[in-house]
Amino acid sequence: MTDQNLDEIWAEWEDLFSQARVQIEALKTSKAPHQVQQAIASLFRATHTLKGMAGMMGYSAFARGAHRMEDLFDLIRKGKLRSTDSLVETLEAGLLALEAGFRDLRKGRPEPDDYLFKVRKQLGELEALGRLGSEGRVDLSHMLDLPEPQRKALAEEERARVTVALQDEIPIHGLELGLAFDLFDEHLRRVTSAMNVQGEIISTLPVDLPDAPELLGFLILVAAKSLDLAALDLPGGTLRSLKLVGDPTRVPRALQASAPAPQAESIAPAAAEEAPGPVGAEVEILRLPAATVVGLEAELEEVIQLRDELANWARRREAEEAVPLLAAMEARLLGLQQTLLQMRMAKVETFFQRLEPMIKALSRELAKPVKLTFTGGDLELERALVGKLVEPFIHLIRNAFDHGLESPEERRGQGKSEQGMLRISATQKGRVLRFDIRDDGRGFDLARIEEKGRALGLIRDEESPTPERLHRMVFEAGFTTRDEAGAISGRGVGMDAVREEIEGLGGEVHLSSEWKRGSLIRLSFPMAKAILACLKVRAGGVLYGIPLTSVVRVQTQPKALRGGERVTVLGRELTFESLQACMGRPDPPNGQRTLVVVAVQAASAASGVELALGVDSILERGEVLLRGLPEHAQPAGVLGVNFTEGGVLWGLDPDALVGLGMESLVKRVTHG
Amino acid sequence: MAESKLLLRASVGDRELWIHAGDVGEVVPLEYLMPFPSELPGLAGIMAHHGEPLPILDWTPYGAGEAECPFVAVLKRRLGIPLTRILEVREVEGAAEVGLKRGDPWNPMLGHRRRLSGHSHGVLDVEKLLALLHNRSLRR
Repeated sequence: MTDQNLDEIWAEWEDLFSQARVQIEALKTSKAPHQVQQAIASLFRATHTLKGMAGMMGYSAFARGAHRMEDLFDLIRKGKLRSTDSLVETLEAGLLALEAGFRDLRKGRPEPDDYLFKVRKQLGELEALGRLGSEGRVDLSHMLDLPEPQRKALAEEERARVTVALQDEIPIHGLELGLAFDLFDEHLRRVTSAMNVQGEIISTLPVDLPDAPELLGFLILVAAKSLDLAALDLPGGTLRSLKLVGDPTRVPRALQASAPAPQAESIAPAAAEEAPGPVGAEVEILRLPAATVVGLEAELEEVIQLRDELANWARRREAEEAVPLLAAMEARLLGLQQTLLQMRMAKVETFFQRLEPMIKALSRELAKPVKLTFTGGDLELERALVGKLVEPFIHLIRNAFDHGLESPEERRGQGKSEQGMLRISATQKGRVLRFDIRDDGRGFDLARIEEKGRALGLIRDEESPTPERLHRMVFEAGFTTRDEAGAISGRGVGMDAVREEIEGLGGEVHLSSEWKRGSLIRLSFPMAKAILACLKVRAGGVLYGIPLTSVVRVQTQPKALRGGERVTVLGRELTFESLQACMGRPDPPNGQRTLVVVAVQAASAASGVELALGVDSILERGEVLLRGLPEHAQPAGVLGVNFTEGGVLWGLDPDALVGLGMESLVKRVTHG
Repeated sequence: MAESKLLLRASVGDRELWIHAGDVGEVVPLEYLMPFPSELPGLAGIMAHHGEPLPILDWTPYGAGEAECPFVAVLKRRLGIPLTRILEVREVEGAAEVGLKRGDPWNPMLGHRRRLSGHSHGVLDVEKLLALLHNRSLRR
């Protein structure tokens, strides 16, 4: 194939993606069924063509990805899935992933195994919803070679994932593990992390091990083409059995994903619109206004208040018989709150996927090539914020392109690489979601800002502004260092509006830069509510939740320890401090035997920091709904609170907690 | 500060206090106050209010820690002010504004005093109080 031919083919790919983008935009705005149907039919054709072209050129992974997207569009055009905002979001994410893959292919980069890796879970869920039999849901979980109670223990979503895996001809393996009680958290996390690399974990079922009562038994169901046991790094004696519990070769052809569905090709788009799928087979995906969810949350809050009043009444009357009923009510209410919260949350990745094409277009428009990276896409933010943040972000990024990033020639002259760097990251610090926008451009000219600030009367004659003050000035109304407005920014009406918009969303924006080295814009948003998976512990009569993501190990010591003592954990010497002391409360008089090792990533240490935290008792693991406290009532080390039957659980911020532990240990040394 | 001309007059122990009615969301019984896990100067703890944690002011630094307060005025800015009694809600337009008494431990949270029917009582300045609590929590 000549270069010219290849260029023509790539141009055709480019056109197909461009058409797909237009159709996705149409899906976002169109409500009329015939317009939706037209857009879907067009997307189906585009992905079908892309699949064929990729196959012809030998890009088999790309062809598989395009095929998967084509299948989804097929399900929609046949009326088996309804077009909703979240569905369109997933489809757009899938297409953007394929488009990013296409650009890499064009640059001669090798193919990844799965172009749709980042959205595979969402796609899998849609496929499970869409692939329904005409007489009800196709459920292949009955084919699992498991005892009846274990099979029945699978949740509906897990059964759907079993079905999708088997339909996609992926075997399901069952690994029975026996884990020592004091190490099970760590081992289970290690094993599941390693398994996730090889396939998709469908379920982790607790099982009885009558012959080894000292061990905790788990059956892990994992869908994987093959399983490399050595790579799982299982501790010796942990693996009790391994068997193939789901064999895709046994799936009847009619139920396999690749099987042609009856009438599939005979229904033209228009006909499909007139003849929707059978009612019994259809999954109704509702398109709800956000206000409805907010309204439901408000009503739920009222119910919670009634529950609180009932709990108070029961306490006053010492009505013990009400306790289990209230606890059951609490569990149901938490479930409802979680569901509603999840409806309102979206992955940060979704937001990044909206930004990416706009930033790339900006880079092309200004002829300033950048290496663009995104990190932290797995975090979650309120869905309502996704749309509201795009505009201020794009303005900030435009500003970075216009004022910060230099042209390739200028960069070359400064000894920088011609391609600039733009890094957008999301991190969660305690209850604050933080976005950083970093570039390696020229930074802000503080001398120029000061000069303009004085000219505009923003700086008094006798004032010597600090760099922080000068950076803040950029966000003041009417401020600009440009004498003439640039095409992209520099109009002086924008950065203040951006700040106002961010603050209006409950956030904050900060700017810092280093001349000729680059700049950093940091946006922080406090989270009002969050679901926290935690280890519930008691210390000094207070109930705490330690985030499981930071718990490395739980251990019981033969003798009680006191703050400042050293303790050996997994061969490492760690310092012990009681949780009470970390929170500034009196030391437990008799020391503590139970410790929880908490690990956090230190700013300067690659290995992180670990602290052996003493607690009075460990209660259980669980998920709780944390509610944030206002700034004027924020106890150190606390992320938020959860009201429980027994009073209140304080969700802890591991970073702050380790810091408080260190402070407490320093005090012990300095004060003897 | 809210622009409301309506003031709520309440007592805390044997002292009286005016609060702008516009600053108050509702008045509810003070029940099941739960202390913070670590010391938070100026705050006694939290209570559940509509399922959300409501921080409750501690009168101890203001010399009224022993006052029995069965009610709490829930400020719209998420702070609960414990009160002994609710005395009245009245329009104060025209009431003379007077300066704060020197050395009064309540001064850090009061905006000014109002003279009504021959008596002057402090008016709560919510912004001032919140700033005070915020600064205290930062100084810990």
